[in-house]
Amino acid sequence: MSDSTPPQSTDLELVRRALSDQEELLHLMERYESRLLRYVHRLTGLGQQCVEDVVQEVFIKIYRNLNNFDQALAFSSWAYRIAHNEAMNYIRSNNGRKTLPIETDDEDSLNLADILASEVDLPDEAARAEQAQLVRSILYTLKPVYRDALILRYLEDQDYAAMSDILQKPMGTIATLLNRAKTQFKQLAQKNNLTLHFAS
Amino acid sequence: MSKLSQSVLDKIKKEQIAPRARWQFVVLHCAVWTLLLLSVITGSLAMSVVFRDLFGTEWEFAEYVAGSRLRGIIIMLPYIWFATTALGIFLAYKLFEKTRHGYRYRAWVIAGGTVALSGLTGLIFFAAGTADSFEHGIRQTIPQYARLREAVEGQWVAPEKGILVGRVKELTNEEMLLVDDLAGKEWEVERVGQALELPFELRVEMMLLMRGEAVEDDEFQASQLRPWRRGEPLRKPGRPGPGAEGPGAFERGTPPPPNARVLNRQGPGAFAPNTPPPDGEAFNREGPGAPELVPQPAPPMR
Repeated sequence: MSDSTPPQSTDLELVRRALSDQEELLHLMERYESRLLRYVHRLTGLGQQCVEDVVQEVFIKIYRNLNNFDQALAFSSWAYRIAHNEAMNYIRSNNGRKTLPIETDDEDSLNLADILASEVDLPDEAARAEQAQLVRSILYTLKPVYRDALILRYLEDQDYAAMSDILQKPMGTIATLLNRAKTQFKQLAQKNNLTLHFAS
Repeated sequence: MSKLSQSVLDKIKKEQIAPRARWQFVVLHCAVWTLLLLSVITGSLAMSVVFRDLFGTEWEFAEYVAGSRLRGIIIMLPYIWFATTALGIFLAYKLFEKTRHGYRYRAWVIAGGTVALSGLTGLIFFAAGTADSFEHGIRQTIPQYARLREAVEGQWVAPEKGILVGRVKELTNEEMLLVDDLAGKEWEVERVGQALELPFELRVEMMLLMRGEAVEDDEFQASQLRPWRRGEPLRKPGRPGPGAEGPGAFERGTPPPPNARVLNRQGPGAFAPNTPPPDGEAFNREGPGAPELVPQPAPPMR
């Protein structure tokens, strides 16, 4: 096993090394662990332990399917795709229990609102903190597919092409999905008297 | 090393997890593409039979079978092939979505492409005459289907309504022919009126649709004759069933074989000027250079 992650190595090189030596998977995990933990956490709203369980399963699946990695894709898109599928499976299997998000970052919620600020004008800074809880609850009221689209685009900073590869939908559909997600988010914000001022 | 990374590596080692072999994925992708190809071919073949039935049926005669043309069309439409076409296209659509990059295309692009591909290939199969041999193969393989089709086609054997479909068994003379109908019954058919002036070549083994009236239990007076299912390949005598092809089938545009009796009055099938008719009996009444009608000894009437 290498002593440290070779910073100059590409993802593809790390994949090839991991195929011949399982210890090399460590470098891939180190590169993606925090991103995938954060993504799954944002998407599912689960606690730290549950998120780690899901991400552990994601890495196991990545390792099992390394030979199926499509080099036409970015490795990050492929890893996010597996994480997305695993998280969605979790959400579906727990749908009956109506698991509520118990730990989400206020910062995330406000970030999302900030990013949507090209269309949404937030009030003063003091009110922002109070509104974080409301923004967060609205986010988790959205259908998972809309929530996922907003998280990937505005919090994970994925472009349309990457989102297309992650969600396995054509780019035109991604654009439609995002528009609908934003519209639904705004409608729910208005219904909940969230004092957001929507730009025309 | 983080706690999570360590736990993943521990689990991999403990459970002896290894990456799946590349060949397994190759086989999987090949299987999807093979099934996709089979679905397209199935849809195309089914569509070729639809084309054959739609373009090859004399719909104007359908009213004599069913009372009204609309009813006749409703009865005669090849629903089973419509359904098979739809199934083939649907499966091809779903399988394309499952290919590695299938998700990059919008649903209407995949659906439109699948329909267009199946339609185009279906037209090629139809033009090549594949529809007949395919459908004949299905008849021989699936007896239930054969019975269903016979029940539908059997409605074209309705001498009491003035409609008869059958295979030419013998060209007795210029006006008379022997025909076996779809149910296997032999008819002596007399051509009258428009049926004496045909824009197509009349051959033994040809399937004919006849409009006229039954004058006796086994005699039919035909005032109109049409080829049944245009595009159906002609066959040598003795070849069973519709749609039979292969080494014994006659090629369109080639001279008839020695034992064929041909009535060829005009049109593209007429013999060229100054060209002696091929071996066998021939009548070529019209057109420049048509050889004189040489009376031939007709085979004995039944």
